[in-house]
Amino acid sequence: MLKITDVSKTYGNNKVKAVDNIRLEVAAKQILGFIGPNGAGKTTTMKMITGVLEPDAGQITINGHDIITDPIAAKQNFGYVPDSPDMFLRLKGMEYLNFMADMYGVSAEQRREKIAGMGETFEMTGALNGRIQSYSHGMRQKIIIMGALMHNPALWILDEPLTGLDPRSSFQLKEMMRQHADAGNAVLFSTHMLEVAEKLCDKIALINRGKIIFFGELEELIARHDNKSLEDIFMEVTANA
Amino acid sequence: MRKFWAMVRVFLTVIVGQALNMKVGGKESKWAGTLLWGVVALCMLPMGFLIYWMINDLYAFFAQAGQISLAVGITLNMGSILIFMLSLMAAPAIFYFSKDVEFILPLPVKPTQIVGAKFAVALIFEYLLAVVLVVIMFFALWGNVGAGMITFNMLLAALTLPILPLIYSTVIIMLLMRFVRMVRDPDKYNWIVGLLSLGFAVVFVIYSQDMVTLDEESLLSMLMGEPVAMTALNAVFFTNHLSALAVGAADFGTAVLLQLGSLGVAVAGLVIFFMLAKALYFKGVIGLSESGAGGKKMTREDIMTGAVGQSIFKAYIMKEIRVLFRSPVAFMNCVLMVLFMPIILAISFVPLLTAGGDDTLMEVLAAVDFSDPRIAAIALVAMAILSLTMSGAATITASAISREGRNFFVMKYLPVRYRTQLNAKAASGLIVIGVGLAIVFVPLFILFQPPVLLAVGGVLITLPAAVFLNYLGLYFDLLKPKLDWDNEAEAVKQNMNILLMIFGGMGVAAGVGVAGWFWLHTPLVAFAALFGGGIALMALALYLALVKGSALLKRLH
Repeated sequence: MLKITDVSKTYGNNKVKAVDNIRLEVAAKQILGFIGPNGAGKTTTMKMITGVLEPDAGQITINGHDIITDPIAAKQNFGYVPDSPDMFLRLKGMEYLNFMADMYGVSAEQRREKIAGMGETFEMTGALNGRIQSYSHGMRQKIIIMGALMHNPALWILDEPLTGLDPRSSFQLKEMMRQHADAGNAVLFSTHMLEVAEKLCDKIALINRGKIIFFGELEELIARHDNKSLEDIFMEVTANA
Repeated sequence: MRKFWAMVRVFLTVIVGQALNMKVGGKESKWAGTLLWGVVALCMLPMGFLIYWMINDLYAFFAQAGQISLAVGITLNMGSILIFMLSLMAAPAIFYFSKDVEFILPLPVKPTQIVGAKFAVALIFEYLLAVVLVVIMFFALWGNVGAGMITFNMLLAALTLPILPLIYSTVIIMLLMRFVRMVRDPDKYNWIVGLLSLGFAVVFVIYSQDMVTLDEESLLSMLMGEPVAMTALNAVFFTNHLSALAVGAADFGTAVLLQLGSLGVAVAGLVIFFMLAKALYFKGVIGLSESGAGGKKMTREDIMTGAVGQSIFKAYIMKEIRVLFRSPVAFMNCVLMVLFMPIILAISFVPLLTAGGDDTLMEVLAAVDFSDPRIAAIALVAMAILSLTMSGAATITASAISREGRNFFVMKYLPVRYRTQLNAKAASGLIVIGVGLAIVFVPLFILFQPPVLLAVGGVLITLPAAVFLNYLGLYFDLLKPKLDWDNEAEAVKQNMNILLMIFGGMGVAAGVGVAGWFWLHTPLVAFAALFGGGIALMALALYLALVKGSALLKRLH
């Protein structure tokens, strides 16, 4: 579903690479947790996957479409939830969802079903007539998540999605991520919440100083580190890397 | 007191920093911001001179009649009204929407110190305006009555000029924020005040036109009769009344007493203000950031009827127009400049058109003979000039990327070609310009009744001119977008691209005027040159915005 091959990125004239020759792969039905300390290269990687930044080297394909040579088809195949939900603030919730559905060419029937379903799940139906500007942080997060899922993307990318969500919405989002993957899609999300990654992810990618220092199943990572907790492993590998 | 001054310093640093800092070559530069404000100040100079001449004429006239203090009172009151209106717009940003109170309240400072510091900051900015106004009045007075006690008293008037207007506006704002929930939304507040200011501007223009039609004798006798409006203004801005009396006082002692009286009234005003602020401010400011979705509650049935699709291009244009019209700062600066200015100009010109007895200007204009080739050519050139000036003033596309701010990256991950997105942004600008041009041209066509062919030719000339500047503005904004801002006003008001477009539009219009004067003497030549030139420039702008612009957008991060 998502294939990142030997991707590197350097900002400006810096000699230090923000992302250094990384390789990742997320298959259908998988949830990949992308973890690493601040400034490790998570956001840069996500920006390159979504086409916001161009890599200096390497290739990124989404469902077989190269993000550089076939960008529109590649973008059509993912839904993105950025780390800050302060977007489209002057649109009403419903206007935003219609806009996103139009951008991704979602049929009227599918959008009705999606908006009604997700509105109920996230308890957002009543608020859809209000401007996003008037929403709380959590409500903004929910509406952006709804927008990203309007076209039922093959790959769902989320940058720190749980920040600001109440426990119920947080639980529901994790359930949705699982359901989305189980339906034959893939999920990639970055997080600092190691316990969430521990419980939810099929695979973990641990990044530090631009390099992937581990990519594989969680059990494998734990076995390699004498059955320590993910938190202990994280502290250890990010300190020594 | 140390804490008070520390807060004043912090509040000022934040505001001045926001106003002055501009990104040049990816780095913050105070010099670039200072330069921009310098250019703005230079642009305001002609208006300053215009105000000076008006005040000078007024003072000269009243000085002859021995009523100089009456004239000083009028100008001081006008200044106070201006300060009042401007502070209605600016003070909420300092007192409420900066949202810093919630961070300051937990600190060990007294509430009165917080209000005091905020009031002091607002007052400092109002003093800047007051000093400019009083200096203009001072020179006008000096020119008419010479240097001496009178002019010295005029300078002293600056001390109290902004205090009462700022107190009034701040108390009104506090009452509104405390009791009217709707205005707690910065957008809605700016809308209300913006429209009120425009309404005030229209009333002022109409009132001024009425005054212009009066002869000097009638004007003097009207003002000497102390009309209700003037008596009311003297009572409301009592410090001005006392300052004006001091200017006209016969002896030094009386003048000093009156100035001290003015200062005393200002101090009393401040005491009352702090008492009111204590009761109103904190109850209004707490919970300002609390949010809950507004609007009518949506139901499942509403979703079934409301979830409808449209083409990508149309949906994108609708999104652009909604955002543009719902953002007060963008609407006031980019849209209203095009839609409202023609109306203001029309109101200003109507009395001139109808004045003059038997042969009014309107009748003269209506009798224009378009069969004269020179006149027909002038008409075409004039339409091109109008189109260029208005398209340049629209600045919708010149700020289209900047207004996206840090969220510009959304443009990059949507599965929509950059060209389509840029065309949609340009289309939103063209729609507004089209409406603005219609507001201007339809009444002109009715007034002049030009031959159909000439009217069609004129409209054909305006189209490439509008498209050219619209896409050129988009290209400029793609070249140097101002994306790093905290307040949308920075993207619109402190954006060099916008100044470039306004002056660029005027420059090209001036070029067309010169060409028209020297070479375009027949309608056919004028049409061929303006339409042909317009098409060529339009093609260039389309290439720059869509081909080069897409590449720029691709590299933007």
